[in-house]
Amino acid sequence: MNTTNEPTNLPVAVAEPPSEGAGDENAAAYDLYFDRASGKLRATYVDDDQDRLPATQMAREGFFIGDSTDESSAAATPPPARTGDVFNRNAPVLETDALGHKKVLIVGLGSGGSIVADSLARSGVGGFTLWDHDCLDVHNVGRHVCTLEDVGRPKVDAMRDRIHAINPNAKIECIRRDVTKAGDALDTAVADVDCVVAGTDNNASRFAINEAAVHAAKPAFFGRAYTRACGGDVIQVLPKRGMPCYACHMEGRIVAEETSSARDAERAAYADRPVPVEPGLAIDIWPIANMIARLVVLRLCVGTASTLVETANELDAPLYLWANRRQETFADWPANGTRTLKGCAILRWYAAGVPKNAACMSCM
Amino acid sequence: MNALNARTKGRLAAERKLLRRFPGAVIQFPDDPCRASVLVPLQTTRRNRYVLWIPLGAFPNEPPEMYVVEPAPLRDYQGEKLSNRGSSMEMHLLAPDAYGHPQICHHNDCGWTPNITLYKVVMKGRIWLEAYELHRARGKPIDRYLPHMG
Repeated sequence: MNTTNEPTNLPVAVAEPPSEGAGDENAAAYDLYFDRASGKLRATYVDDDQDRLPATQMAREGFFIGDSTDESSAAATPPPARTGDVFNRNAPVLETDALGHKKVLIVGLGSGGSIVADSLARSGVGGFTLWDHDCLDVHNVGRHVCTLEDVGRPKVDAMRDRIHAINPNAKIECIRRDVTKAGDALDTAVADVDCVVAGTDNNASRFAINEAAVHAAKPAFFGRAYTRACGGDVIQVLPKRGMPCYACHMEGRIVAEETSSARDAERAAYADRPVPVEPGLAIDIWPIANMIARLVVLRLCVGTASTLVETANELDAPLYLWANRRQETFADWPANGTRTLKGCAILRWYAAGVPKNAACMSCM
Repeated sequence: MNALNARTKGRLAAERKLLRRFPGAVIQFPDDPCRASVLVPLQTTRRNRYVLWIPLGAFPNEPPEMYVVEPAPLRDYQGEKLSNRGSSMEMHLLAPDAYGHPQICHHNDCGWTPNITLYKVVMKGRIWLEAYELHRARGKPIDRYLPHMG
């Protein structure tokens, strides 16, 4: 958690480097600090640390890439930092270099997708393609990692800045369009990454993501919250023989999902049978999103020398189930289940096997 | 908007073969995602003729919309336009299109998978039409009959 509460996207005032001895521009570096008096992020020239990238050079080299139309946010320059400094607390568990060159596509940057993106950035993932067509609304803030300062901005831009505030060296591509109507663009985006995360809230987009990931043989992860986020599940689709895809999971299985927005409610309602908006709490969404981030990190470590590979091999079930409360889907679970290790209990993950559908048209 | 990808084109080719079981069924504008649709003439057991129009939208990833475009307007037991009911659970209707064609609710979003074919969607439409004719004859809502016909 950021305990300084200092804004990071303020205009940068860059001090001129000294003229003498500054022949090698690449060796120049700047220290950035927040100047309380002026309310600006300032940079001072230093020449003893060749790891640091000058702020002006960072901007020139295009820290912000992507096709977002929000020019004002694209022009902001994040503070430079050495990746090693940011992630040195991860080092005993996770070799940061293992993830720095990995790239993840996250489609849907609502409450779930934004938490996944944030967690992956903090784990050291160095590349992102962020995909969402929506803007951040006031009612999103209660469950989103972005804040009221970002209301009205495209979610991809808000999350891009959020990730850059954690890791200025992250390479981020932003795509603002409806994934269900993306055609070949989705295939192109999937082909360019190591893992795919579906943080969307409807099956049409999940099926599109599933099909693209299956055909590109990329691991894909799907998270869902059930009614009022009483619980949820994480579906893991790995490119290996016999593994069911998302469409296989949905064959004959009707899940009452969370109705988190007026748009969702309208889609499910009839004029003679309205559907209320019943979102869950942020604390109900976090465990599900955190599990997705965990599975993604583990999967990204496979094939590296990381000590997490063994854990990745353990967590290879197609479905993980989580219950927040003994309500709705989980109403018949035993009371006080958390007091024993036997039987079903809330706030525990359960792995489940799901058969592959031999006639599935998405993965056959 | 992008053109259909190769997988969707292959799927539509397979769907076209299945739809041959409905004489006169055609897939219109198969290469244009904005206009791709299916027109299916059907005849019920009472020998009444109907035409269903199914814009494909994001099929097979989401259920396609299905409208009754002939005869028009479609009327209920009281002689009122069916489209005046808007979306109706008891009549298994979703919002009508801009021209007042009633939209049949054939699959719930939750129960939809990409493995459901257009052939099955049309069969659902056929069943709805049979239930509609029972409604016209007896006045009970379509939901009264459909659960026994699926």
